[in-house]
Amino acid sequence: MAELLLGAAFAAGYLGFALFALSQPRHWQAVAGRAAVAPSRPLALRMAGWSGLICAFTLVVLRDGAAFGSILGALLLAACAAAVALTLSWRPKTLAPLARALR
Amino acid sequence: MRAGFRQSMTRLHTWAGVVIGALLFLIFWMGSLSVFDREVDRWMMPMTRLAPASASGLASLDTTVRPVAEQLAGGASPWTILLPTARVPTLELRYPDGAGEIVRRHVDPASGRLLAAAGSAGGNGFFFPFHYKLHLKAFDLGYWLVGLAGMTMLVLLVSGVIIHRRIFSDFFTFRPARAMPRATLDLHNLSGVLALPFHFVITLSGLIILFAIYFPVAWQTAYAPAGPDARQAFNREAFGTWRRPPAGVPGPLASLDAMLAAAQAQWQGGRPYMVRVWHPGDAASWVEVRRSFADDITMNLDTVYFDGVTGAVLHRHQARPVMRVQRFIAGLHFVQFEHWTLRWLYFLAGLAGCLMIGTGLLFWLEARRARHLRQGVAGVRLVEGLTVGGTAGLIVATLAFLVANRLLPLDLAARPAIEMNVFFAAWGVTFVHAGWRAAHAWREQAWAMAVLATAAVALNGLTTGDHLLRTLAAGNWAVAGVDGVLLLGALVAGGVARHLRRRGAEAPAVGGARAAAGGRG
Amino acid sequence: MASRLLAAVGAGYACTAAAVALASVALPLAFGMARSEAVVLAAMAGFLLYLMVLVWGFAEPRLARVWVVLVGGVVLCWGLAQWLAPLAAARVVPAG
Repeated sequence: MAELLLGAAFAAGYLGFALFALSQPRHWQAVAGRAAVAPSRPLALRMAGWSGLICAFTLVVLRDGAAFGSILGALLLAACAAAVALTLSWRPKTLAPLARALR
Repeated sequence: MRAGFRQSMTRLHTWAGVVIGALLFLIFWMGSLSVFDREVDRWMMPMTRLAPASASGLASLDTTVRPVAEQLAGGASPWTILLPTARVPTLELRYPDGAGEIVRRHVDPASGRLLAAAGSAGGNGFFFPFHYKLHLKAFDLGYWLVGLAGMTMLVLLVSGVIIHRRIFSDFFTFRPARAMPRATLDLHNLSGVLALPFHFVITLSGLIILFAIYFPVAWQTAYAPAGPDARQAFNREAFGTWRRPPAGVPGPLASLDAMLAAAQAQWQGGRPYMVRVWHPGDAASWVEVRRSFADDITMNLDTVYFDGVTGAVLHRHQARPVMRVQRFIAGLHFVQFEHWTLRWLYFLAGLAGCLMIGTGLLFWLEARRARHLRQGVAGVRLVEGLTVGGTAGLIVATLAFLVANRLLPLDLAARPAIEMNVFFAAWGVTFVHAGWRAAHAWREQAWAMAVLATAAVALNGLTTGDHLLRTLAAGNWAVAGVDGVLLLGALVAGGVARHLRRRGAEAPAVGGARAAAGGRG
Repeated sequence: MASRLLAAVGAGYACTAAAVALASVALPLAFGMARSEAVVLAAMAGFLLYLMVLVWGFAEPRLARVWVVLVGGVVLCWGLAQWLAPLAAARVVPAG
């Protein structure tokens, strides 16, 4: 159960940061292709991004309690953000399905 | 933002970084290694690779470590006994020898057998003290340098955030294909911003741990009425340290196990983690029992003091509210709690800190190189050599330390000191190498890392028989983990070396000048 | 600039330390806090105060102002601490 919560938290955090990234034209174009139009509702994407992060944080607090959960949340989210940054640098097309779903 | 403010913050960030960068890298590197110091100990001290202690019962001290202590330590005060934990499967006995140095010996908790002398300081004895006092004892110089570095780090973090122009729009930006200074700056910003809460909290908490050293004026002023006993009075009230003078006449030592049980009862089931016997064999001896904090972040100060001869409770201590806050903050830094996911994340975040510091130094070198070459400034080579030695060289020296641990014969006198000398000698060699080989030094030292890390893993398998397949099968996670990280590190180092060879084919000066003009801020 | 460094780092530490010393005697008087608690609180806050002093010390364009404020701070805080110290000592209850 604990591992499931951790995995779900990582997924939620990764998704949240991916949405933040896609709300920026530079990263949207890297993922969806040069010709792609920039996202029309960047604010909505960012709100969705925040939900992902809050969801991730809630899951780890549920898993480990307030003290350990908060620290785990902060560090895990940093790892999620780093994972998204590395995806965008080396394999941006990985996020193409997400961009398609958002169009 | 006023132009003058940004300019002064840029100057501050640059110069603070250049002056203290190498020291900060050292502190962060040794700190990151210290997160797994106990696991490194299992790797470096094969005789301590026992099965982890059973979680249920407490080890019996009277039948196991006490006879050993009486035989080895005698009346040396104090005996410090560390009970086995999930990360340390042995009982550890520490006592001062004739010269005042602390001797550490390990005892098998199941059989009471004294294990062979480790012959190594290990992670906990070398990496960890290196991290907080740089192995410099005179006048607390090590502590003060680390404190200076810590405050400078906080200033660097604040000034770095202030001068980062596009902190949100560049949040995920990393362009490895661009010219070196741009890519380096991207990586510096990324490793800094993404883990910014960690870098700030770890630095501030580290300073707060040593508050009594860094702000002595606080307890000196508040406890001035106590005169020469000011420090003792403060320690007693804040940390609960309790002392009394020895009687000078002999007295038998009561059962330590009974004291452990009594302490556990006082703490409603809380387990002890440390026992300290003061003036063993004296009629006024006393025994200090401290409660474990493996399940909390707060490093509690719960202590019970027993009379050594009768076993009666003499004194109890618990941290007061503000002190508990300090102990929580200290606990955030010490990472002594049992939480494997968090431990790994701390390790990775620490390495991110090393990356941030290293890329910062590298960026300064590269951005300045074009300008310095134009101006014909001497000393570029010296600064570059110092940077290579201080970063890559430090890693090479660490790996040489591990390799030496596997190669040196166990019965060598002063073996721990020799291991440490190998570290410092190797480190010195990397500086000389960097000065001699200039631009090629990075690549060559990256190869040295790959070779040494692989050699360390191979030597562990050859000299102890606990190669990676066997440790994974047996569930010996500590040794498997160290081997695994070494192998992964070797791969990364090799990849970096090859990447640097490809990069070396481009004209560095031209790319540096162009990027330096457009890539700042 | 060596003078700037001396001011921000040296005088800055002196001023921060003086403020910490003042807090460690003033907090028990003002809030009835135990001595050891006040020491810990004052010292922890000291690190944050020193950080702010350092950033300001390098950001403030007029170097003379930095010296005046910091040296003035030392004098003021140290003076107050010395004045309050006997009052704090008088109310100390010997700890058990």
